[in-house]
Amino acid sequence: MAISKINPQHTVPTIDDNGFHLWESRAIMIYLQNQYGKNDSLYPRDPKKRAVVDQRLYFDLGTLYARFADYYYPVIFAGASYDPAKLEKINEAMDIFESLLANSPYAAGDHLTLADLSLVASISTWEIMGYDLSPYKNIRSWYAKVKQTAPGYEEANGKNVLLFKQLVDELLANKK
Amino acid sequence: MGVTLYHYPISAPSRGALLAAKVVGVDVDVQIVDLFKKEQLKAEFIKINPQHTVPTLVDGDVVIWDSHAIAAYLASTYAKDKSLYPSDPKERAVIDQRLYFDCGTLHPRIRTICFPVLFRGEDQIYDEHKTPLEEALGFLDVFLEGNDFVAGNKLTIADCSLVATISGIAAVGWNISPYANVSAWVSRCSLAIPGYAEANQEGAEAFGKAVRSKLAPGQL
Repeated sequence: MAISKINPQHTVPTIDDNGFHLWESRAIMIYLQNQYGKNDSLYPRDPKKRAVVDQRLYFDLGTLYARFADYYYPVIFAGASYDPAKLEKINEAMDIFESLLANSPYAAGDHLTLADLSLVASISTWEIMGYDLSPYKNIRSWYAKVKQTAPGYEEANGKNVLLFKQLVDELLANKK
Repeated sequence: MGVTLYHYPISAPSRGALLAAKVVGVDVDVQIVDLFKKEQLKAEFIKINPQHTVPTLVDGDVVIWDSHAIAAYLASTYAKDKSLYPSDPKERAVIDQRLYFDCGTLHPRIRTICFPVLFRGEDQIYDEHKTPLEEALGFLDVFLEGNDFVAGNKLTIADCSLVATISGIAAVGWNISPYANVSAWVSRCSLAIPGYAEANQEGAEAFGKAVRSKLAPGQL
């Protein structure tokens, strides 16, 4: 089926749950949790705790992921050169993330939530693109923890990050 | 102790959060953070929100930022009318999708055009930035097809966020009339949201005026 029939915005990911069509990765995560989650630990019902998870999810989409995409995608997909001003915006976002993790082992508190799953997909992608995580002590220890505690991490993310890198290498080689 | 909203009226996300407070019906103490005077970088504000963005909401011991997270929090905590952000997973998912569309697609495409004009001395609007915005307006028009509001036939918090965004670019002078569903929905929101003129329209117009005053002639 053409994806544009079920999602006018024709983006991935999109889900079809018995005819219910939904896109936007973070909205999908929340839906899967609300519809099928056995308990609320990934996305607490308490509005104050939930708001922290939500804030981190919007931080990922609107700031962290956005700034990385703004730096890397024009190079990968449009043959542009790397723009140091955009790298500076990434570093600023990473500083914020680093400070959010100062008193919190996971992105939104003391245990794994949807925010970690979203953020680790971003961070792992940029790491494999060559972004240097070494100045970010809290982020590195968080990253190691999420890799260990997110169920099925390798299957769902780890090995696919490598595929992304392969694709990027091919695209860049073709442009030369 | 009441609820405090750190706010700047020209910011669309900030107006979106204030509109959410209006539809939810919760009184917020509005504290202005003047972005043109860089008041968001004052030490006391960074202590509250290390990302130093508006809007930021303080409710007792909890600090929340990102306008969409604020809207969801206010609706979950204070709304008598549960249809603003229903707990049914499917109904809620559509609202969440619209909120993320605002955060990740519509608002950034407007910001790419307007931020350099307001803060970096840019005076042009480039075709490479116009096309993505027209595409996003087209998506919103499709979402509204057959619906009174962005997530169905009832007003939700997604309308608050999206109408704050759209009213800003409309006030800049962007022609939204080709998007008939969007145009009609903006009017509908202006009637359905309590205090819309003061909480949103004034700030949207101030934003539009500020951007227009810095653009070279003939950009729109």
